[in-house]
Amino acid sequence: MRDPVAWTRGLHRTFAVTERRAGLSGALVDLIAPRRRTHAAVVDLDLDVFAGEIVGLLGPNGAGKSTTVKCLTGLLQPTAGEVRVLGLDPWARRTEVVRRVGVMFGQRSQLWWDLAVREAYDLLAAIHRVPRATYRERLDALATTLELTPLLAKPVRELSLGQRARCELAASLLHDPALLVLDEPTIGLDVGVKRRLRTLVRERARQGTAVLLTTHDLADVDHLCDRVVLVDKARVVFEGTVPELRTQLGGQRRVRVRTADRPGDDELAALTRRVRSPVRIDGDGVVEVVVPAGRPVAHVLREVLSVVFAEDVSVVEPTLEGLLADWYERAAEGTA
Amino acid sequence: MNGALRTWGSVVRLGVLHHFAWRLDVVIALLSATMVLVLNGSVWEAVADGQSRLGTLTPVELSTYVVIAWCASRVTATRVDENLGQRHASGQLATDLLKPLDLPSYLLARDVGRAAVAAVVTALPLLALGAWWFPLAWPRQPVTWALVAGSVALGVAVGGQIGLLVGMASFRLRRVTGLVSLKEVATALLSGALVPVTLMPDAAAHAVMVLPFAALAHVPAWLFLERATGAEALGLLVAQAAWAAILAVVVRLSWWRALRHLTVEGG
Ligand SMILES: Nc1ncnc2c1ncn2[C@@H]1O[C@H](COP(=O)(O)OP(=O)(O)O)[C@@H](O)[C@H]1O
Ligand SMILES: [Mg+2]
Repeated sequence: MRDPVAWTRGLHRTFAVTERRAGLSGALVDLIAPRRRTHAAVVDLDLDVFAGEIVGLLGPNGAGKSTTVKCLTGLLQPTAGEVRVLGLDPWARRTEVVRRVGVMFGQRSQLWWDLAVREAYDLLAAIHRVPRATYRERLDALATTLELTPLLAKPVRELSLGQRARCELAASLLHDPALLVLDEPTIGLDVGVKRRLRTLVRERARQGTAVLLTTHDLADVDHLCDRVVLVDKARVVFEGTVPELRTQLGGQRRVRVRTADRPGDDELAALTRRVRSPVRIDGDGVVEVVVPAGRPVAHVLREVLSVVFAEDVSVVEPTLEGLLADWYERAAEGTA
Repeated sequence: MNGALRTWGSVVRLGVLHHFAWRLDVVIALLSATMVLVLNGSVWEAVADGQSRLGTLTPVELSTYVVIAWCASRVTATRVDENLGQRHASGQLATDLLKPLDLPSYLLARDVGRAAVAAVVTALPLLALGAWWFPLAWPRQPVTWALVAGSVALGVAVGGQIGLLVGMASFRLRRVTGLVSLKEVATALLSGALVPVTLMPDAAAHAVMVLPFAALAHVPAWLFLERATGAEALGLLVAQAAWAAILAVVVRLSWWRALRHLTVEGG
């Protein structure tokens, strides 16, 4: 197999943090004897991103995603472990590495506030030493896909969030990077802009760019990611495909049946025995049965219909959103 | 090489564009610089009134010194300290470091753009105004103009490096403004921009001549007066260049150190 475009092995990063004592006297004590401790933001992280692959880095706020991104792009020196991008150590050789890497932070601009978008692109092309003719071609193509043409003459500070996001994505692609890193790129965007960004990122991956994406938008993950890495409290807790993640999170479908006359307790007990799976009934007489992993829906449905008289039937797919929300909640309680 | 020229040319141009993006700022800077020039020039004129010489300077030489030193200081007064400090505080440094550029060089190149704008839209109008308001002693030899221009250019290099050091020193603080005003006071007092170095007590004047601040205003004024010519003039330029080089080394070492401790917050 080919080498990954970017990888980490046993990546650790700790921060020295100062803890503040409470109150006025605490503040005074802090002034003289600050209380410091180290905080591990990333612990023992192994990550591979191959050419043409979109890897999602997921996890609750503070899990260590941005820290990982910063280690990969040479902004932070790892405390321990190895990081390579295109075979180079990004910390030691940041300038060389960032020539081949495109980065978009959803919460931060890489453009120049006072310059018109086109001026900013000209400058980026000059900084990246993209030959003029190549640059013009690329900009034309990006402007068409992202509909940037009406924005090119505007100063960056006058762009709306969605317009800026489109301009930022184009900016991170002008030098045709081998690795594209997107840190919460769709934060705060409307569905139209999100869709446009996703289409372009997909397209890029198809052409061979390796993509690392951190996001809280699980539609991004569903639409884009070939593989996801879930981190929690600085550690990787899951790695695999999106369907595998669903299974791992206990994502089971449910059959919901609205009944004409509410079944009695005996009937429900009988149903539970037959489907060998939890059965619930709500106040409106809707029976809900969990479809156990590996059992066809039709099978479960037949069992249910043989016991109750159905007026309406639906099958509920778990959303990744809901599953992760449950999981984050359990993780926060320390039971996941 | 061609690529490097295009890159750095574009960054200098950015400095120019950035400065022009806020035209009102340029106008206000010119207004306040004019007020300082007229006030400070008048004060020194009054001090010299009726005297044949103040220190070694005739009254006309004194006004000339005051005008030229102030004009030069407007060009060498860097903004990189503020810029770097704000970038650090806002986390903007992260996107700067993601560009394949050496950040100190990038900021210096931008500052060269700023200095070019300041030379044209601030220093030259101030010089014209100063010449109209005060009696000035103009250089007798054409080469003096070249020496003064070279000296101001070296002053920009020295000022920029001092600015970078101040900016980096602010990384441990929440705001850069305190350090910047400290630097501005030091510069105003020690560079000759407001008080001619030659009128300071001997010990102070000697000390100031050893510090890098004299490169920012005193040296161009002194060359303009043709008080140093030939080898002596070249010596002054070499001293400025030496300061620029020494500071460049200190900047480099501090930058490596700062990068190691930088944690690029946010995101
Ligand atoms: N510069 C810093 N100094 C101290 N702690 C930090 C710093 N940057 C991040 N952290 C801490 O490291 C952890 C991971 O942060 P981050 O990687 O930004 O998380 P996220 O997954 O939300 O992107 C958090 O607990 C955060 O508070
Ligand atoms: Mg983050």
